[in-house]
Amino acid sequence: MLKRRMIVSLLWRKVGIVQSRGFSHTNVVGDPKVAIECFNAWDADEIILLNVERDDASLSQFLNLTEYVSYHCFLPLTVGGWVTNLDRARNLVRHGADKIVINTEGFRRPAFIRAVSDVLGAQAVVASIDVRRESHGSERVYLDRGRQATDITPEKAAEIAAENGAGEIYITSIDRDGGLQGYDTDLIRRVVAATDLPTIASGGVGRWEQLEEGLRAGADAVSAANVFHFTEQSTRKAKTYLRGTDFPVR
Amino acid sequence: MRWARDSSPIWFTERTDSVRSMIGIVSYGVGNLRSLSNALEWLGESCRLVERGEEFDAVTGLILPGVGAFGPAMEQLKNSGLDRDVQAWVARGRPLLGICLGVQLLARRSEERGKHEGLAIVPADVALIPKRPGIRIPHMGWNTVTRVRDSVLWGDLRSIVCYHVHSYALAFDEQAASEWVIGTVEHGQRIPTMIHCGNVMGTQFHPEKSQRDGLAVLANFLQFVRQC
Repeated sequence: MLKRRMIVSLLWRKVGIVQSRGFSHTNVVGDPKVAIECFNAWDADEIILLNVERDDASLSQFLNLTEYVSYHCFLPLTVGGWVTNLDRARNLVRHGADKIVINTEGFRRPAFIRAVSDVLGAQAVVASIDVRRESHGSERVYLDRGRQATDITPEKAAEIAAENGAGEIYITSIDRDGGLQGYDTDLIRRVVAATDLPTIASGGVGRWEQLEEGLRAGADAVSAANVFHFTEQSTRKAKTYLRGTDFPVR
Repeated sequence: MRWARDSSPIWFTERTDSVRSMIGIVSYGVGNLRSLSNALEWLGESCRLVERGEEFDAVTGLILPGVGAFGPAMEQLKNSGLDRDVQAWVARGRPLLGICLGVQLLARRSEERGKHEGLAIVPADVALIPKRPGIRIPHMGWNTVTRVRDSVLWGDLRSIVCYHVHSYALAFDEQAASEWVIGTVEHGQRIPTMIHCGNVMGTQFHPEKSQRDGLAVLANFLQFVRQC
């Protein structure tokens, strides 16, 4: 039986692995190399590595990191940030990425999702959808690290991704990001229902029970970032918790 | 020791033999070959990328990797003449391991985005995994592989959990299945995901991405190569 996955998301800037709150990156929590080594050994099922640096001058350094991580983890490695053309996607794969996260460029220009999917295969394309709830209550998909609003709804974004050949969806609530109050399970439920694609829940985990809530909302995989940095052997503890639920986990 | 923090690497046994072997990874286009060579290196094996048939002479075992779509991959193999080289390798009784799309390419044909001929080394066809309620396609993630028959690829392993990512799968008739299929997973239906017959082996999952269970399967293949 297919297991539900527990994914460690690592947000990288030149200064190191950073914590994020509402898509602002402040605290540097450490050396990516140490983090990777721990998570690899401690029961993570997959690693998502995102370049959240302000500009793309960081690309070559990020490629080196991708290569390093790939060399050290025998786990699926999903990589993204500043993937604005096909060469960058190819280059990340050449440096050891298995899947590429597409966000800004993919929703500005859905044909880009198609282009990457045609070359690398649908299984290598993860469409990342960042959602913010506006003050009047409506939800909008944001691009460019939460800086640019669109008039696309989360469900519509998922459909665009699926129609253009994405193989997976990574749904993040910007409002919940870093808040430790748990996923926006209502949002996850709707995005899961919008397509047949495997869906990764992201944004807001502060306790292991909240990973379970993400699975209950229908996510195939649950991701967290900040919470894994707080304690020793955190992924092992999270996995131990999930093994006690009725969901199949590795 | 690269997994310095892993306290129980019991699945990894030190090599005691002194046979020199060299694994060739068939390189025919895009795709992440780095992870595979990393895994082989980590297991203490030498490997090199091979792009032409002449280079096969320098290797003792061959791995056919692959990601992406069947049609373009097969076309790349044909354009470089590697299709015949791989067929000749198998005909000479040399050991071959197909991984992911690589194992599908060994089949007779695939129906992925049109009809395509395969290498016809394995008596199977490649078909879309049927959609069922609650079953998401691609089949993406870790799934338990059930041992349905003994094989050197299993060795002492009983049941393993490995990382799969595919929308299409091998389909055998009953007779061929009994000769070839050594491991299956459940995803809406039973899917063959480990095969072995004679000198030809394959895994639909990515052993190089499946941590200790996958590395153990790769180690078993390397063991087989050394005995060939």
